[in-house]
Amino acid sequence: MSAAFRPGDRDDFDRLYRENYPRLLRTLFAITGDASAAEDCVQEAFVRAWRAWPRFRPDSAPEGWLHQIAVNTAISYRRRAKLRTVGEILRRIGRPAAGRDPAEAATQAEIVRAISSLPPRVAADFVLRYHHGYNNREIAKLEGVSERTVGARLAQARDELARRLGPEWRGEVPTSTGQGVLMPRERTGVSDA
Amino acid sequence: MPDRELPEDLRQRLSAALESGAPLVSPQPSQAEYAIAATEAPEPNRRLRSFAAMALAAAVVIALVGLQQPREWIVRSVDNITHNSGVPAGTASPTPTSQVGTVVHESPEVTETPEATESPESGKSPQPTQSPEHEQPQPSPTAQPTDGDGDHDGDGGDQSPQPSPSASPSD
Repeated sequence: MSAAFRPGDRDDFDRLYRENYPRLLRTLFAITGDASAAEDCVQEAFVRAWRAWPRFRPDSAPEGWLHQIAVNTAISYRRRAKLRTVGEILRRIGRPAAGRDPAEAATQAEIVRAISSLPPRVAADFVLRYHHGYNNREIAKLEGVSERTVGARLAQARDELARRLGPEWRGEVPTSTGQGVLMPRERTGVSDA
Repeated sequence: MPDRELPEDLRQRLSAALESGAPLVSPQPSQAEYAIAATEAPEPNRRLRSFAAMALAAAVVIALVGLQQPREWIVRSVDNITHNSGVPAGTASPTPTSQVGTVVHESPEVTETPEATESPESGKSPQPTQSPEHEQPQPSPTAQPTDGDGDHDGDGGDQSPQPSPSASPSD
């Protein structure tokens, strides 16, 4: 993805910061659903990475290593945030949920909220795939998992977003002519991802 | 393996939501938190230095305390010796070595002789009227044949006529 990095080198770490900061910020924003929290998590992730930078193994991609640290940081944040919001959830019990028409176009805030409600690694893969433009192989390499796992996560994300935001989020299979076809809900699953 | 795609309008909405929700400020590594942590990296060295300084100070204190104890022991022993011997502690003060040597050697000779001579004299001066038994042995060789039967309890110590006849034959 980029030139070789020297573990422990400050200039290389600065370059790593400049190249990965935008992607990590948006990915963690999708996970946390909060811009300030995403910024805090990115900074914390880079602090953790800096401390471990002298021990980094150059045989692996530093982007993936950094991505793992950032996602783990965001996961820790979400766990803490869940504990903080327990009281608020208890206060909402008994109140009717706000009704919503699925066909209604989702606002930007709703999109972010829906994505941030996904499991963290699922949300991260969804943003990497459909916002940052990585393909499944690149995501698998970045995260150190199989392509099948990535496909399953993306299918899970699309299915959940289609339920929350509308059926168009279920996605489409590109045809040879380049025109997408909306996949019916019954056929979206892990096997064909 | 077919990749399922989102429609282009949904991708644009997704990107707009992410970019507007988390506006990107041009990242400056110098302003990042890890840069602050990097500047604070020498802190372990500072801690190590302070720890070494503390250890050195403790070693010096221990060394000084360790040297003081034998000195105190010597001073105590000298004080005890001088106290027992009756020599004032300030007389042998010039050097610790000479203090110990002189006092130890002088104390038995100097102190014993006056005590041996003075104690009988000082003991006799108040005691002649209270305990005449100690005075009687001198006149006894001549007085025994005459006084031995009557005055062995000292009852006649206060009686003046008894010493006078014994002293007169001895002379």
